[in-house]
Amino acid sequence: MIQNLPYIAVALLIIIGLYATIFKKNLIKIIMGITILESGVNLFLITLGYRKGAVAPIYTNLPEGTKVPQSLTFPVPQALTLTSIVIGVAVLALMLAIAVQIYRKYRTLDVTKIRRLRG
Amino acid sequence: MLERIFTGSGFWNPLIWLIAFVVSILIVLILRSLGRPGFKREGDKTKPFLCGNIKDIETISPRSENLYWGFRESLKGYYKVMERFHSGDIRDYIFWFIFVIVLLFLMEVL
Amino acid sequence: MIQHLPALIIALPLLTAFLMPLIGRISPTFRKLFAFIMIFLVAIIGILLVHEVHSKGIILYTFGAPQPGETTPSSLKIPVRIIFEIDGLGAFMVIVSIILAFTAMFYALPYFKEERGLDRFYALLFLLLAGILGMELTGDMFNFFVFLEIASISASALIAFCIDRSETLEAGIKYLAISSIGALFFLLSVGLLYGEYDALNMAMLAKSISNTFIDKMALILILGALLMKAGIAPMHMWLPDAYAEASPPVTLCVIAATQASMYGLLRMIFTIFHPSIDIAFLPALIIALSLITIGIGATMTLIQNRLTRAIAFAGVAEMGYILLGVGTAMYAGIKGYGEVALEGAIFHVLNDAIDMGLLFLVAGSVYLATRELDMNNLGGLARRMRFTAITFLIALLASSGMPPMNGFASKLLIYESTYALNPILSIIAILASILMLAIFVRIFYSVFLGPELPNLRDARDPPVLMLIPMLILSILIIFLGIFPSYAIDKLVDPAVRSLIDAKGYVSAVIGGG
Repeated sequence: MIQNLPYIAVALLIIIGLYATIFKKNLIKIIMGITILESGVNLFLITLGYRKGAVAPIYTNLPEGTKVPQSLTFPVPQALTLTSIVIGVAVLALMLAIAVQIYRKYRTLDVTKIRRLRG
Repeated sequence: MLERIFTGSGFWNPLIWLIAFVVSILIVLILRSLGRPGFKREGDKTKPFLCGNIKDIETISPRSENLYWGFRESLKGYYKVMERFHSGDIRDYIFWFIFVIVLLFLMEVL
Repeated sequence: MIQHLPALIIALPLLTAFLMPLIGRISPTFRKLFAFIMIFLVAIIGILLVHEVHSKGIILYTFGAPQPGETTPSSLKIPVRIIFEIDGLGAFMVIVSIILAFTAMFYALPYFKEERGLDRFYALLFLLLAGILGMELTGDMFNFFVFLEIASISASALIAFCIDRSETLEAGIKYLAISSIGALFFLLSVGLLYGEYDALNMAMLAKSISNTFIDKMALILILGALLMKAGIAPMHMWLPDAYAEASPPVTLCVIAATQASMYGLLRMIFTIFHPSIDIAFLPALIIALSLITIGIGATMTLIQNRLTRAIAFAGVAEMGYILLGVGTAMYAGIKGYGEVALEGAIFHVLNDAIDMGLLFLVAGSVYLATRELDMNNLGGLARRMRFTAITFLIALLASSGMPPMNGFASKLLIYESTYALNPILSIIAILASILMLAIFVRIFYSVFLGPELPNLRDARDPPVLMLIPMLILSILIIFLGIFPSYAIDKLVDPAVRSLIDAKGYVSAVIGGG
């Protein structure tokens, strides 16, 4: 059970993120929802690479008597997560920048009113 | 010139099509030349007949909205649904995306 | 030099993108020249690459390896490095993207005159090109995700580029939000696959995937994300927004991004998941979705009053035709009429890109001449804009599938193969095509025919530099229409063969069979 806790957290984060994107009306809250969704996916990647009691795979800084590679965590998911975080920051920055411009034009962030493109 | 593509049940050769096209145009031209040679495009013969006192007949033309009016009128119910479907609301976009994934998931599990 | 082509074709647009702000400081003319030279170089590299693939078979490029072909490090058994793997399908898609990007850049150079921040515009355009090409060349799942995100970020920034108009902003954020959620689902399924098989390499995954529950979940998530990115109903709503509101050169590149997503779909389904995963309802569901897409796209085109938006909905229907071919091939397997269907679908990727591209370029010329896209306020433009009217006529005939244009050749392959599966499918497809023709005639009439409007008397054809890309696309349409077997033999058949030969894709990286 306790080993599965991170996966439950992942599921919760993804569900919260999706809930926010589908049911919230404020554009900023939708953007927050996307960011929470992204945190969920990142946590999932991190959890994949974790082993119980393992240390970070930094060869120059290993504690005495570490078994290589049995007691190291997987480095690949961490590299993936770092890349994904960087991409996530770019997406977040661009979305917020566009949201600011949208507020200037529409004078609102209510997505039920930001819909000139329809039909 | 074997410019044909086989589709399994037949083939498509654009060159044969072009030849057929040219031949049919020739037939049309021959038929046209059989017409009355003395016809003159003068007077009001070629103008459309309109009753009533309409001025500026040259500038009146149906606008884009009015074209295919009958088609739209007969499919009014469908288009009403479609306009509600294309609401322009960003949450609907995300909802339909999640909907398709959940649909695929449920179809697989059940 | 030749063996480093796959790296160069990505590196060159990236380098150009980040040099652009510096170059722009020198002079605007030099910036244009630089952009043109760079896109020309990228096109040449792309053509060389395609030539290499066709003459030598699958090209591998392993980043960080002593030799590009050395996929697996000597001390390990599995490929751990990022590998670019270019087969016939990848080469075909490179051609499609380069045609679109080249004409887009050609058109953009004279299109924007007084716009601010053109440095950033060109930088983003090259970044988008790098993302699209990366998606098409990579043989690594995570790398595909990264390029997908690069493409969506730069595309949405480009869509929202003209921030003076509020609609562009709206289209930009919608595109960005929906595609970043899609990409996150893609990443989730990459994580699932990595957790199960310890591999990110596509060939490695294709070898090890079996019919487990997690694999099915991964396939479903990937399918959902890529179908959405390809604009398949009911997830197509971002597509008309994005296509219609972006400026025409940007729209062309977004079309290339959509086609790259369609490529991803083909790659995932036929190379990675197809032989081992068995989801019984999937082909039927794909066919159903494609019919819905065709129907919605064709009927929604009718009620649009904005020129670009009407064309965009026609583009939705075209994506439906491609997916119909893919679904038929999935249903029948890639043999017999299934192979014909796949051939039609892949050929239609090229034709759809060219037809839609030309339609949007014409819409751009109309906008440039009249500053108006509402079809209610347009009319009689054929008197003043002869060339534009003729190119629009060619494009509308092609995209509604009239012989002898290129759209007909690929649609015929799709019709006849779906007829072998079920006649009703091809009847629906043909009816929708006829409807599209009727609707395009309406668009043509309301924009170009009829009496001349007094406020549009000084509309003129665009300058010669902008006519050249339109001319290139028109010539391609007619050439591919009259000599379709040329394109099919040279480009489409290698692509189909590489999809059939999924084992070859795997063994090129891992070795053995």
